[in-house]
Amino acid sequence: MSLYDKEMLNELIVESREHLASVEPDLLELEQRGADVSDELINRVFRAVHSIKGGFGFFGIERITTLAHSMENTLSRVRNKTLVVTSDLTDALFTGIDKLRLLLDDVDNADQTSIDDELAKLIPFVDDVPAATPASSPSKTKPPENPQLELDRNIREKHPELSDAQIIDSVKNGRLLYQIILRSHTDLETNNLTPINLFDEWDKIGLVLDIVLDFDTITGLEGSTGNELTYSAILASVLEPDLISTATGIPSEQIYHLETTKIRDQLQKEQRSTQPQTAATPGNGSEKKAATATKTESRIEDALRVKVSLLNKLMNLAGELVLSRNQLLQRVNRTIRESLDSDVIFNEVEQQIEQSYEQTAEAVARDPANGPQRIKAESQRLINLFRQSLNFKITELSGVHAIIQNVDRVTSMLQESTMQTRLQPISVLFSKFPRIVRDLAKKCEKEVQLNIIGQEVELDKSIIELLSDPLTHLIRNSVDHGIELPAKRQSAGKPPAGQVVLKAFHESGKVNIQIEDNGGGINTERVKNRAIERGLVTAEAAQQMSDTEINRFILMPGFSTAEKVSDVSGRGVGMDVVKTNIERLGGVIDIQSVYGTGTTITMQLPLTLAIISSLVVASEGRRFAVPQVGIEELVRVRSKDITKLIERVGQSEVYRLRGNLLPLVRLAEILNLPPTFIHPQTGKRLPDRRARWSDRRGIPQTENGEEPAAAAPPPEEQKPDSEEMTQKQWDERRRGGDRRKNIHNAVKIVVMHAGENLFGLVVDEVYDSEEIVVKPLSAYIKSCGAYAGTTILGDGAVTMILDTNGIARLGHLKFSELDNANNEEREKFEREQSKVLQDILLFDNGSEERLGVELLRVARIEKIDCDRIEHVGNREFVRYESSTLPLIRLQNHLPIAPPGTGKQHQFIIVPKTDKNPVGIAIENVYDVIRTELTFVAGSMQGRNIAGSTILNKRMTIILNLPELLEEAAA
Amino acid sequence: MQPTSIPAAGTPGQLISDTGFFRPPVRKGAHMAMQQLATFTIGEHLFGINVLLIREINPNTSFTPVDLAPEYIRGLMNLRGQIVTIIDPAVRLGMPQREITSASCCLVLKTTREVEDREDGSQLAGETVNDIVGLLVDSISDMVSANTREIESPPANIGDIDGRFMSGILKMENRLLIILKTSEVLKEGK
Repeated sequence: MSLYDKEMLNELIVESREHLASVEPDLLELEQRGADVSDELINRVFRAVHSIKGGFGFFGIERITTLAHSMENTLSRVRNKTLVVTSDLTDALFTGIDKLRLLLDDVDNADQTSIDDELAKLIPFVDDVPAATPASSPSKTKPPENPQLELDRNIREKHPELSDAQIIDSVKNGRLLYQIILRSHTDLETNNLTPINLFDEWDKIGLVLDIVLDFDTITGLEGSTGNELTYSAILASVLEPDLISTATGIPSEQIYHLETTKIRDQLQKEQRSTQPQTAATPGNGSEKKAATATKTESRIEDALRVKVSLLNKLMNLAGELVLSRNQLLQRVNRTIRESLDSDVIFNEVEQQIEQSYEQTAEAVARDPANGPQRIKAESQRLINLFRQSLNFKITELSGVHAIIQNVDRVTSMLQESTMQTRLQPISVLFSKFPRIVRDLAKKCEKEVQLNIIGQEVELDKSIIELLSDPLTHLIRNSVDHGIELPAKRQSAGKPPAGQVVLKAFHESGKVNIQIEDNGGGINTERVKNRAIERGLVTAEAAQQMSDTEINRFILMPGFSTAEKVSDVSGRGVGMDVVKTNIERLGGVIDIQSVYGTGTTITMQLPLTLAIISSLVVASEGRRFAVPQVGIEELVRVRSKDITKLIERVGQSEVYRLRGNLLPLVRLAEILNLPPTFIHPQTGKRLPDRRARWSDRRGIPQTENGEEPAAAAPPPEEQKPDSEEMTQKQWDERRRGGDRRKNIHNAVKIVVMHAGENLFGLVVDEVYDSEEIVVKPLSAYIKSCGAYAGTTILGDGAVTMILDTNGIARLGHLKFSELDNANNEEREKFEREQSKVLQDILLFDNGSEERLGVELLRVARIEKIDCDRIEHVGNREFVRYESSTLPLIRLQNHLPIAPPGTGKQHQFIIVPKTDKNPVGIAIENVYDVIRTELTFVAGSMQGRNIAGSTILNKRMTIILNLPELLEEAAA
Repeated sequence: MQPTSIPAAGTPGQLISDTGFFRPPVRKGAHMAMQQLATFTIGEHLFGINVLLIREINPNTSFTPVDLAPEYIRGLMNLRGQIVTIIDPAVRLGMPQREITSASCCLVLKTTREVEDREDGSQLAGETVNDIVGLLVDSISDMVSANTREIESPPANIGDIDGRFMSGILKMENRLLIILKTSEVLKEGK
């Protein structure tokens, strides 16, 4: 096969796949319509299968041709209304389609693949014409009720698929029918033609109704080589018989004009009697098509096929244009500024000043008394003058600004549209679900309706490809687990047919995909129990969680509540894969479910994968982008905490992060970044050549030996031989901030996850987050293992995107080694936590006894005037905030002495409580101390007392506040 | 052969090695009568590359260095939104890394696809790679058109440069032009 043929074959395969994809929804619709066949629909299906058959017939791939042919036969019966599309027929056709897909995937071996099963399934529906040998038995495809369509019997036999509708259609449009005999060798190859470009030519002059391999001639032509195949084509064209040979490029002796006058007469008669208002006027086929297309039948928009590489190139150019625009803007602005402060204005100003000086000097000399006033007025005049001339310049240049703004706007629009070229409608993906839902519902013996909304929403091609699996999984879940069996639904008062709504829509710059079913919903209780069983959460914590939070447990790996696992969706492995996939795409997933009513799963996805959100960090002056997906959190360790929180375990440096040891990796070390420092005087970053921190060398020269000149100190200070000066510079330098080694600086840690494990990346600087366009890594750099890609930042600089896993690998992080240490650390942390350091408020009641209460339980301490205490019977109240608070006296509840009387002020402790708020009257507040609360041996026991202990060297009674409050309320 | 001009830059180095061993003649491009060669210098040597392989010559030498990359990778350059990997051919040829001067240039090569897309490019397709790469050279010299017959097969080595990096040599009036075998220079790995 020549290269050219190979290319054509590939094209054909791509086209055939598209045909197959378009056939599925149409078949489903046909199935729904049953006997009410739409001509438009069936013709579309027929045409699709037919072109597959025709195309592969030319390449001599027999199995595809045979299978397609068999399907076509079935469809032709449907078209002639001798067969009604039933569920079984659809099944048979679907199996055929699936097989065709398989064959297309591996065309080279297609002829070694058995298609017997598929053919066997189709046989009950195929006319008794055996498949693949259409001409060998008498044709029965001709419907007996249309005797007027008696074409040449020979033609009918050769072209069983040629439908009456097609013929009538052509004749109605005033076309003439021709049979053209085409010899593959003589007519095609010698003219360097391919069937496809031949048909392209023919399409300009008419309509190719059918084309078949002429089996008769194969057997009839003795000694014909394998190269010479004869085809018989039926062409409908408005061209007269004498023109057709020239137009088609086929010798006239191979062209037969088929007599259609009778048919035309018959048709005209019919039309006159039945529908005179739509009298057939000879016209072109497209009018006809437009007229018959109905609005209920969706049609995929015609589009141009463009190479992805070309689109990428366009996108690059658009991106570059944006950069150039920015540069232009900057440049123009600078030019404006320069032209403003330099020459023109300066000259003007100079003249004015000179003039003004002369005049003023003269005036002052004449009238020295008013001198100061005169000078003041003159200088004010000059200032106003400058201001005016500046304003003038700016308005003069504003015209340029308008142009640049226009360029700016157009550039942004161009970039946006270019980005959109990579987008594909999500219908590409959604269109396969009706079939999946149908098959699955049938298998589960459920009735399921699938509603698809938002087919037109567009997403990046690569996202659509990656979304296919997770979405399929979710749809399966909905049908298999979500929707109940019809009987169960009815008993729950729902319609027997379940509904699954698949919806795509835009929201805040992201694409949302929602799968909503009105099935059983998630049994939150069961999920909760399961999660507690599996130790994913404690029972107490689970009580605090909302249903939505609990439902998220189904996203955990291996989580399953299903009692029985079906072969369709096993549950347990699926949802976490869905979650990982969605997250890999930079999306989020959310589950809303009401038990018994249904489940809604929403996925939020970015429009495109080519742009990701990333954090820009820097070490040693080199900037890197870290994908946000991999970042868990950012930690800044204050310099005073460094020694406390960062230490070494085994080979790794670790940071104590909330009871876990986080292994640390220093970006500068991993990437072997050359050390640099910032020159204290110039602020420039220069290579640092010291071997050790303690090296006392002078300020290094820049690479080409030139001393950074601008703000350099006087030369005598720079002499490196002066030990004193060097020392001085060194001190300056330390203050100026040699970041990496300066112990007084905070450490910035980017906490990232590599698979299951977390680690910290120590960087010098954390900049902003930035949306970046990911560009693939050059093959030369892949082996570094540290980078995931490259990108160009907003300022035009090429920057490497760090690969989280790669960094973890390069850091030689041995997470297992850390595990032991980590466990210890965790224990220690937990021990510390369990020691319960508490803040104790120390106070007294105006008597000897020192009292204490946990600060945690105290809402506020108020100081009030004693006047504000009101007495109602033997109870006391105090106005507090906008309400009245009952006041309790501790001597009434504790074995302590009452305080003295006659004070002006009173302290009140207002405890935290949600019911029966009270105020506790106390005398003095001493302190709040943090302590590990352990009660001494022989501690005081009693009503409302938690215990006693020594705090601040004094025996202190700790109140049992809840008990006290309860007693007070009673 | 008519060299359109003779580059004056640099001094003629060690012209021909003392070895008498010659490899079998190179058949590549044997039927092409004339070749256009873009010439440039690295160190003391004058090199040439078929001009059909060159996308553009860019005087921009500010690269983003790639840490951990092999020594011959000098960095990445932003060429109108496309990222070009800059290779230091000197390192591949066994010379030290080039210092970047104001005369330094990048020869940005076409990708394999771009070369193939040209009618006459098919026999050159293997000479470049799929990535966009640029060669860092000390300075750019003139164009030289050479008759294929005058291109001699390379000796085992010229100075320190191994013969495998040459696809041929061209004797000019007072210099030797080494036609660089880009496929060998662009090979991945060390």
